[in-house]
Amino acid sequence: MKKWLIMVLALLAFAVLPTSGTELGELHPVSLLMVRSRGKQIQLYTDTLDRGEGETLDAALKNLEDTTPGHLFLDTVEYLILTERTKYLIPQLKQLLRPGAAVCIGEEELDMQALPEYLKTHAPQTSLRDADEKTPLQKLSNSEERFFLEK
Amino acid sequence: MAHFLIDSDIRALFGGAGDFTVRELSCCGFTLYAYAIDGLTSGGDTSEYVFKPLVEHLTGETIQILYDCALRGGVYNSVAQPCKDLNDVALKLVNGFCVVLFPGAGAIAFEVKTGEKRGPSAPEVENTVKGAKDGLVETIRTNTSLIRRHLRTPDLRLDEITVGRRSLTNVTVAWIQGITSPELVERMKKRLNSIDVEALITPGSVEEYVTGSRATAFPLLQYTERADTFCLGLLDGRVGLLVDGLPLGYLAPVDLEYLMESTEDLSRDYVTASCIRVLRYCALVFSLLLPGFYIALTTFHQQMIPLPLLRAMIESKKNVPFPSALEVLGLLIAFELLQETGIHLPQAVGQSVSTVGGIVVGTAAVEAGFISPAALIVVSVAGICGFVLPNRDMAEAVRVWRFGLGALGAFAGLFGVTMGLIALAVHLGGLTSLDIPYLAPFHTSEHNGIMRVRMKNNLFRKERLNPQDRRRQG
Repeated sequence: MKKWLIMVLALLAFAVLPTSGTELGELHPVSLLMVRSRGKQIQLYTDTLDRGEGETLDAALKNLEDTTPGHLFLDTVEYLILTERTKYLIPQLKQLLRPGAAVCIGEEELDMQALPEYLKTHAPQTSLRDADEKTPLQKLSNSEERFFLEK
Repeated sequence: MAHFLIDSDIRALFGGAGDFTVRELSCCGFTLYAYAIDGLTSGGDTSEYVFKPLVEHLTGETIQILYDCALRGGVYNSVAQPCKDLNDVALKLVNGFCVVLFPGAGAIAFEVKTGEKRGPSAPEVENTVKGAKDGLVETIRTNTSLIRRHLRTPDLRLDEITVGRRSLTNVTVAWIQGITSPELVERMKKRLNSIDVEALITPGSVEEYVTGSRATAFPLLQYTERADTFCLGLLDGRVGLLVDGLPLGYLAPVDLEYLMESTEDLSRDYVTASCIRVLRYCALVFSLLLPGFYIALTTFHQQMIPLPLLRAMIESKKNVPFPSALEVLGLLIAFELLQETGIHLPQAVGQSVSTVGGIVVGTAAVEAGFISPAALIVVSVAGICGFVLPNRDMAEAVRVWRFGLGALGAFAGLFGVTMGLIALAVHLGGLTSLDIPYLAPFHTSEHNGIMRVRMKNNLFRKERLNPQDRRRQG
């Protein structure tokens, strides 16, 4: 009787689980995410050169997911670049990304492919966990194909 | 009784078997019958120490006088035992005795066992660099002599019991008077006496019947092929079991600590031995959990993998057509098949097959994109860690549970693996060996069970075995 009870409980426990995982080979991991806005559109750019846009962050994200070849994987985002106009999205982004992701303010146009290499050695000091709309963030500039993160 | 023994009944015992020999002897005008089983007895010894003294030295006017004279030294043989009944005659014959029937007076069994048996050789599995090289053999008497040579104390008790209705296997219960708890000895004897089976021939049958056939893959008896390990077990206050026909000895009770100990530990200094024991426990954890964790992480919890590693793994997985779970479980099966191949083929061929299978086929499979290098590494590491475990039965139990945890990881990720681990802990917690809990070393106040105790500090025997004399030295 005890064994049956344990087996039934175990089956019930497994029944409430999400049973399908994601295959590793299908993942499309992102380490850098840039969030900017153009007019009423929120635009998302990744270091894998994928792009998504929409009127809200959720819509932009949905668009990014739909256009990415593979399964968009944002749990690996290490750096988040915002603009002054998208800083208000920090509370929403906190729900979406790892709390340890480093945040800074960037220019509208950045070389997304080359940027992670630079940020590896010049990482922003503020993490997403500690940031909110009012937190002063370091500024990242881009001139003559060179990056500069102000101290 | 002996008086009812008659020639035709004894002849009928073995139904005219080819190796059953009967010799009629004339002694002082009486006819005596000598029975033996060819191959179990030595022809030369029978002639010299049974027939010759019977015919040349025995004198008497009645058959009863001849019988009494033979029993009391007229026939100079080291062992001369009267046979009580027909069963006793059969038992003596199959144990290498020559039985002489004195019609109307009784029968006497003289020991003339053949010297043809395998001598002690170096243990094949439990090898040590510095330790003794005398391994146990199939003959119980050779084994008891080996044990006596290591333990010369007269307190060593060797109680013999016959088990198996047809195999009539001699089983010896070994223990040390004044050390071993009498309760443990009684429990072991009770179990042996309660076994009512046809034969006790294979190690599996011994282990299952003696332990009560519990539904577990984990060993509830510790086996050893080393005489010194067996003696150390007895000195710990455990009960030993020697089974005629098996080149190994069993020790009970057993717990996880005993199964993780190697005889080699006592050949090294305690610092090195303790470090190696820690490594061994790590190997146990890796062997058990690595495949399950890998499947869980790569299928459900990719965010737990460091990004550079994740990228490398994704890159290597891109062209692999199988999901991680299938890859790992498939590789585990392939690994088991290779091990089985190695066991069943002759040693030289087996090694070649294992090498070809493991290295050549594995590398080719990775290059062909059938499996990812990470999965191959995980299964290989888990397999190698399994080989580190000193007890083969324990390693095999880990192999079984490794599959289960891998399947749970594939089904429910880390939650599944955790559920599996809880089930394993509950299972191990419920196991007992001669009523001693399997996990006792990890919940008693004695030393932690992982480190090897310094010899000079090893003053007391383990309390959980309830030894009569706890003090070892000093």
